[in-house]
Amino acid sequence: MSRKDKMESLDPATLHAFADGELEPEEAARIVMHLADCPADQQAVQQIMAMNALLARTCEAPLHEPVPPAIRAAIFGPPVAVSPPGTRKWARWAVGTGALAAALALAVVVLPRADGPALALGPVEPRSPMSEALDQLASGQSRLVARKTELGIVASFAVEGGYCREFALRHDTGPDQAALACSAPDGWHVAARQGAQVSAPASGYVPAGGDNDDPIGAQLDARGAGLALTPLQEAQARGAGWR
Amino acid sequence: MRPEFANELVRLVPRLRRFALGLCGNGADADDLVQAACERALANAGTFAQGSRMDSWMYRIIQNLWLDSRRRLRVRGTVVDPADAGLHDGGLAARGAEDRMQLSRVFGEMDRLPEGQRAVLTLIAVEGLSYREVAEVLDIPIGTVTSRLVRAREALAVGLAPKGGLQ
Repeated sequence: MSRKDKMESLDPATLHAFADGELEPEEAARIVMHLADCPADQQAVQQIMAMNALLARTCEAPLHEPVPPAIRAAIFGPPVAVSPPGTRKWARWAVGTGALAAALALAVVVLPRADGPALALGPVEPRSPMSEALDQLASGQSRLVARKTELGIVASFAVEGGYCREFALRHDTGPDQAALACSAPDGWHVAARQGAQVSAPASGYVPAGGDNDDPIGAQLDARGAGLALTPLQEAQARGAGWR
Repeated sequence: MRPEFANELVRLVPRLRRFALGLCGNGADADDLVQAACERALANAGTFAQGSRMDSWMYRIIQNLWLDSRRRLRVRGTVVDPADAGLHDGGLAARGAEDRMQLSRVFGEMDRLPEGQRAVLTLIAVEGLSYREVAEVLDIPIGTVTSRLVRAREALAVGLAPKGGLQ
C-alpha cells in the first residue's frame, strides 16, 4: 500500500462537491486521481457518501406508502357522499336485483344519460374512453373521458394477479372523485372509490356497511399492493397490456 | 385551477413527505406539514408559473411553513424531544428494532442542526437536488449552500460517530 499521507488535503467544499456529483467530469477525474494518493481525503469522501446513503435511508419510508387520505382530500377535495350523476350501472343493478335495490338506487341517483362516465364499482366498459385512459395514460397524465370529465392517473401498483391504478375523475360541476381500478381478464374493474356508498362485487349489489375512511388504501392492502410503480416499471406494465 | 395541477401535485406527494420527514423527524408532523403545504399551494395555484418546476415550488412552500412553525414553537417554548422524534412514524414501525434506534438517532442529531443547515442537507442528501437547485429553492447564494452543507455534515458526523461511525 503506498503511503502518501502527507499529500495535501483538498478543501472540504471540493470533497463534498465531488461526493455529491457536483463537479464537471474533468474536475472529478482530477479528484479521483488525488484520492488514490490521499487516504485521508478518500476516507472523508467515503464518509460523506455513507452519510448521504444513511440519510436517504432514514427518510425513504414515504416513498413506499400510498398518499395519506388526509393529504389526498386536501388536494382533490373531501370525499363525495353521493355518486356523481351518470352511473348507468346502478340502474342496471337496480333492475336486476329487486325492489329494495331499485328504491335505494333511484333514491340516490337521478339517471339521465350521463355527461360523466359511470364511476360505479365493478367492470369498466371495454374500449370505452375510460378504459382506454386507464390502459394508456402514465401517472400524472390526464385526459377527457367524457364531456366535462377528466380522468387523471395518480399512481400504479403491482398487485396479486395484475395491476391497480389509482385515478381521479374531475367533473366540471361537482366534486372530484378518487378511485382505484384493477386489471382483470375482462378488462378494468373499479375496485374502490373514495367516499363510496356501495360496494358491488361483480356478482351483485351490496349496500355498504360502515363507511371506510380509506377504501382505496384498504383495497390496495387487501390485494397485496407493493410500492407505487416507477415510471419505467409503469411503462413496462403498460407495454405488456397490464397483464 | 388547471386540472393537471392537482394531478401533478399528488404525484409529488411521496417526495414531499420524504422532504418533510427529513425536516420534522417524525411522520405525523411531516404529514401535517405536507397537507398544509398542499392547501397553500392550491390556494395560490394562480401564482404558480406554468412550465416552471412544481417540485422546487413545493419544497420552498414546505420549508417556509416549517420555519414558521419552528418559530412559533420557539416563541411558545415548546421543546421537542429528539429521542422521541423518530419513534412516532408509522413507516418506522415495520422496521427492526436496531434500525428504528438508528433512525431515531439520526433524526435526533438532525434536530440539533440549525434550520438552514437541516434544510440544505435534506434537499441534497435526501432529495438529491443539485447545489444550484437548492440555492434556488431556498433563495440563498450557492456559497451559502456549500458552507451550510459542510457544517451540517461535520456536526452530524461528530454526533453519530461515537457508536461506531457511519459504515
